[in-house]
Amino acid sequence: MIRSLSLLSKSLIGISASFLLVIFIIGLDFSLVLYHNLTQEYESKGLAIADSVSETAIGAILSDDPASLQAMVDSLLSINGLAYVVIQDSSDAILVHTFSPNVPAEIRPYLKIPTQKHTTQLDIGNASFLHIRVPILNGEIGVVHIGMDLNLIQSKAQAIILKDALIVLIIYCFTIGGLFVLIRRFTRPIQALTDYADHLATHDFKDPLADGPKIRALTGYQQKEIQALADGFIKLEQDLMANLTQLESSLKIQERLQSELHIASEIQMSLLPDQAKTEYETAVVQQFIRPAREVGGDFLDHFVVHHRYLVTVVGDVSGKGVSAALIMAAVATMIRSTAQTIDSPGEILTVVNQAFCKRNVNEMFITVFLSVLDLHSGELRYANAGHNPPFRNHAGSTWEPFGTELDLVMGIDEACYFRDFDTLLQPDESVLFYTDGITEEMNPAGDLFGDQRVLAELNKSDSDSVIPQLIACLDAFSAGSDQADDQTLLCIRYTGAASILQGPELTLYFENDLSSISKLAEVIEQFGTANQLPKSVAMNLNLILEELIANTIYYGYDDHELHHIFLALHLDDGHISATITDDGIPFNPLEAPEVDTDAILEDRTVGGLGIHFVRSLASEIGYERQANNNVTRVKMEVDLNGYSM
Amino acid sequence: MDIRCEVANDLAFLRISGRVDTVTAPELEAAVYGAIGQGGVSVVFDLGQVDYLSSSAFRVFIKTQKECRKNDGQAIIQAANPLIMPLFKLSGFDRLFLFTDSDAASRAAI
Repeated sequence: MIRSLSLLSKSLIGISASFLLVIFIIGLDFSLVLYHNLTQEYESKGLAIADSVSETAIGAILSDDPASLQAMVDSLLSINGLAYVVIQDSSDAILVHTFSPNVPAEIRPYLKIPTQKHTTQLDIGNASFLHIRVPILNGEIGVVHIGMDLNLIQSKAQAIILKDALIVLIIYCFTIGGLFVLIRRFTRPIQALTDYADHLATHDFKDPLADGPKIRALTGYQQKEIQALADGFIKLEQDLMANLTQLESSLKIQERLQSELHIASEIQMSLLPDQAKTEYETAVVQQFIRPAREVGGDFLDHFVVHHRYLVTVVGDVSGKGVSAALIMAAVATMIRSTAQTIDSPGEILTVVNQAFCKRNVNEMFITVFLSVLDLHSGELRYANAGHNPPFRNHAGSTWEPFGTELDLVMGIDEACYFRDFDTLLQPDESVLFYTDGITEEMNPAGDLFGDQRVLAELNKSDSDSVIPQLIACLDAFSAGSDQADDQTLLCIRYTGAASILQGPELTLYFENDLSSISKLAEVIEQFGTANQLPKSVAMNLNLILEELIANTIYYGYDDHELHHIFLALHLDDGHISATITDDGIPFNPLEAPEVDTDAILEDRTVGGLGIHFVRSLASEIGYERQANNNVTRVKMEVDLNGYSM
Repeated sequence: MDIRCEVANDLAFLRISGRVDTVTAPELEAAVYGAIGQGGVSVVFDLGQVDYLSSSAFRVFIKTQKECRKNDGQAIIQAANPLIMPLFKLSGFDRLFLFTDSDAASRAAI
């Protein structure tokens, strides 16, 4: 409780207590000395009176005049402090006394004591007396006893002590009062500073503090310490106000930046494909991207060029945040546009790296894994600029890393050449690309997620939900720690042409360029295998379709635009029906001139043989022009045990 | 399709494997002119490893036959398998070419 009092109160209480103690001790000593002195003085006064009575009483005793003796003793009672007188004769008989009516019993024992001078203290009832005994003529004729009232001394002493105590108290009050004023005077500035500090702590600094002027006045205070303190406080207030104003304006700037960052993040994401799952002709792409901050340096992209090649890009720009995001946006755009004209993934990276290095003033670098999947054949060509090697699996088998052939990261060497590698994806095979934000994510204990956990999780996953399962596992692993880096996943599953060839029905389309002939060969091979067609049947089917489709590609179009040629195949009991639909110029194979197969060499021309093969190998050919399309129907008998001819 | 060309003593062997179709026939045609350029008077198409021919292949064959004849040589079809052989009949080419089944037979035929 004492601790919580102010300095002023503590000082006052301390000083008062010690002062009171001193006064008490002095007062006690003083009272004792005073009482002792008064008693001595009283005793000698009593002795003097007793002596004088013993002298005066001699005559009256000798003359045996009790009346005058009584008058004499009675007259003595007027003396201040004299309480009683008793005179005895030599035979101890009481001659006279001043008691009324009898001598009190308490005195009687003292009346029989041998005759010599004697002083003693005696209590009668509540009163105390100094009993003095003096012999008359050496005790020959009697003894005088007188009693001096000690209570009188006590009351006198009390009066003196009381008066002195009053004076001391007055002095005490003045001293304490003076001290209080002095201490007050000393602590008031400190109190003001304390209050000021309290206000300062809770002030919103929209206006200056109300007690500012009071503190400012203190800067001229005579005591140097207080002056320095007040100066310090004024400076503190000014600094705080300046800092707060600055803080407020930087907060506004930060808010604005925050909203711009939000917009930047939206724009950045709009540059990338935003569907979690995208289906292409023979491939399904699933993706996941999660920046560590509003905007990130990771990027992914996938798009088809020339209606056939699926380009996928996964990259990681060094660093995080806005600088990485801007570089990422630029590089992702460069790759996308370069891929429109260049087929080779290595060459795309080489070209983009050259362009990037020329402007790379911030010494940033980028890792990229670029792959180009031929949607018709499953051939995957790729180039790796220092990126984490992806994982692949064939449906039903375990996942394993591949594409571990690293070239230099982009942004370092303008002359760097990036190599192409290739592999063939089987139908249902998947490839998972990722950035190091996945494998290097840490849990609160500081362990990395790591390749092995990724592989283990992949091997547990269903091929359709690889990404959601991996993310769920990653999030469970790193729960409780902040995401350290951008995280990106991209998974391609090559469904393969086989998925539409599983069975006797097939519908697909070709483009009007010669690559379609290779595609046709693969499709027919798979169709033949799926339906267990004899080799000769598959070959003849291929030949019929190739002749018709190649004819359309070569002669069907007089523009240079892209066109689609549709093929529907149907295998029924004993025969195959094929329908080819194209939007080329009208052409009826039935009206084509027949080739003379009997002509001699000099007369044989190089044309018409294709249609001749079609006519010879097909059992039926039908043609109609439908809504600007050529619809050619071909039927072919199938002898499942041998040749179709 | 792969082509290996061997030219010796006016005779060029074109060892072909794979498919000769609309896409690959131009390569075969280039190989033929290459072989003739290296001194091949007669050209042997060794079709032992060929499992598919389309009309474009036949165009190359007939052009080759005409070229060879100009130099008093000829084009020979060697080792055509039963799968593709019917196409030669269908096209009437069986009457325009000599068919052999081995290098020795081809050499002897010249």
